[in-house]
Amino acid sequence: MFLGIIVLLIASVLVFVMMHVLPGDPLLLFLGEQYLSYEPEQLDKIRHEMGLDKPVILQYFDWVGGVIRGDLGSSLTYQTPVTTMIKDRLPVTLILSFLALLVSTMLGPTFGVIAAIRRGKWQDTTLSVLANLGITLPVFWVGIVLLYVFSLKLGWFETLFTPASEDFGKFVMSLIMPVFCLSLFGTAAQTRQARSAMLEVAHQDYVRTAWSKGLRERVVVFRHMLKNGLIPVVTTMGMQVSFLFGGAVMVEKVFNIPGIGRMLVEGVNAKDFQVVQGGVLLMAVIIVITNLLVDMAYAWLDPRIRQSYR
Amino acid sequence: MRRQGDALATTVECAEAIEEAPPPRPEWKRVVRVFSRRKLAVAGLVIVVLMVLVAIFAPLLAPYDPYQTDILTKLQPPSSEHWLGTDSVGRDTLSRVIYGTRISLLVAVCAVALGAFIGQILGLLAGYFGGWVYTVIMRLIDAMMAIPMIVLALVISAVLGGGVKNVIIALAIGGIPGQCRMMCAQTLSVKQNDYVLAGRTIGVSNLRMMLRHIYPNAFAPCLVMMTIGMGATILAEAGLSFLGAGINPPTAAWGSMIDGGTRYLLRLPILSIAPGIGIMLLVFGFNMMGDGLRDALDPRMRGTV
Repeated sequence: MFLGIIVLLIASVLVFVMMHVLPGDPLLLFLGEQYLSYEPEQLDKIRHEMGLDKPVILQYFDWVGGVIRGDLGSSLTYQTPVTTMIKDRLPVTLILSFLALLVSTMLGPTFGVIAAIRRGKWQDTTLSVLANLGITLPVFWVGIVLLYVFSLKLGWFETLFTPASEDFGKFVMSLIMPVFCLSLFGTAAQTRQARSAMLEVAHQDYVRTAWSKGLRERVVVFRHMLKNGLIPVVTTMGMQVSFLFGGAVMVEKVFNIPGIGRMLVEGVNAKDFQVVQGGVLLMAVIIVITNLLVDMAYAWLDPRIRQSYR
Repeated sequence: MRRQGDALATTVECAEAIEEAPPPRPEWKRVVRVFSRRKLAVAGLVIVVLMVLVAIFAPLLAPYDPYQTDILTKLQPPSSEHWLGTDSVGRDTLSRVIYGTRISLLVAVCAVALGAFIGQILGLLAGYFGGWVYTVIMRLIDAMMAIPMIVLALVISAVLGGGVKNVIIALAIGGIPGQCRMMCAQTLSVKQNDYVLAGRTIGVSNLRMMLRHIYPNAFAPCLVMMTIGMGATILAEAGLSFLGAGINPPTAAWGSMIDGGTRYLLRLPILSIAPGIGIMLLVFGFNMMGDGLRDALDPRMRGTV
């Protein structure tokens, strides 16, 4: 817990330093070409209003102080508080990521186990080829191909995203392709991992013992192999959330979904550093919390680790 | 006297026997043998080599100049003149896809090398010295890992501005955490070996110990990670360019080509699809090569064929 807070503090410094210490006047980024049309005094005034004339360290403490009070500053382009923007956009990103995580955690290990217990058979070959393809496909490209085939050609899905508040049925429909896209990498990666973990476990003495006791395949696989084989799958879940947020940035652009990812991209393109800072920090908080939960789940799943904590 | 002579003779016989015995097979030969038995790994290597050749000989292979615009032939469907059609300003898509190989490979090689260099130095220091050095470096790495790689790179390249050089820097920074953690873990385990203790006893300096004794023995898993990292970096570069924060047109980069094609998706889907296939091939090649290398370099596989 304590470690998590330290990591977050360092992350906040990182994010802040990236946005502030790098060369260039933030006002130039903010005002763009209008910068040249301002008098130096006017520029100083704006700088003072925005607190940009203070030393960077003070600016950092101002920002972190605000973050602790739940104030992430205001967007320079939209003139709305960043927290409001996040409140509007976080739910859809969370739903998208959660569904994608659900799909990949259910399908990935299942495929991996099937491939491992049918090693060398057609099931294994098919699943392995698909999994290897899945980790090579660019997420955004898959999205575009899906849009072309299923929306533009077949007309099964609408190209525009419908918010849940408008029409819930359409909202669910418009989530299908993005969730598929976002879960693709995770499903493929988990299939590969579960397959190799299961194959490794298959050589263990206790599995041979279980077979030689004459247990049925189902019992050996589920009760003896799966429990140990799936431990690495759980440990990578924290990493998965990080990948999901990275993928969400692109999927939200392809499918025009107003989530945190698109907010970040727009913020980056508009040089709206308050939005970018807030968005990145929010992602870091969620990822650190997930990692903490994964560590706890890991200890709960694996008695050996529980022992070593005592 | 006679006994001593016997002992001497036996020793000499032993020494001769040792000299006559075939020398131990060099490690790299075993690695090559294991690697070459993996069909997919060899396929990956072949793809990567072919793509490198395409990149080198792009001017000879490309039928047109990838930057030559021609409004009269804009948005042409695939034909015998333009195999993959032309884009919105009349540039030949096939030529741009071929030249795109250069950008992808250049960015990936430079970013992975730079990220590995910095990451491995940090990991070596953290693992070797331990204590507060370890704590400081690894907490910093933890913080970097709390930000998704593509988001980190997006922010950095946005602040630095796009372009090949800045994208390389951004992706290299994104690659540091993985390399650092791997090198640190390896250093911690290699450090336990007796030869490190022996070296320390005879007063080998820290620098020499790290570079001569620890680094070479800790490098193999990092190499595997670098190979697989090539694929991830190519995907990230394409993603950044797709988001408009990477390498922008007119430079022929696959990511921005896919983005540019989305506006004509209904009319000419090939504009977006073709560069994606390039990305897929190259990433597949590096991933399979990495898998093969991992199997071949895995210490548990030592002595097996």
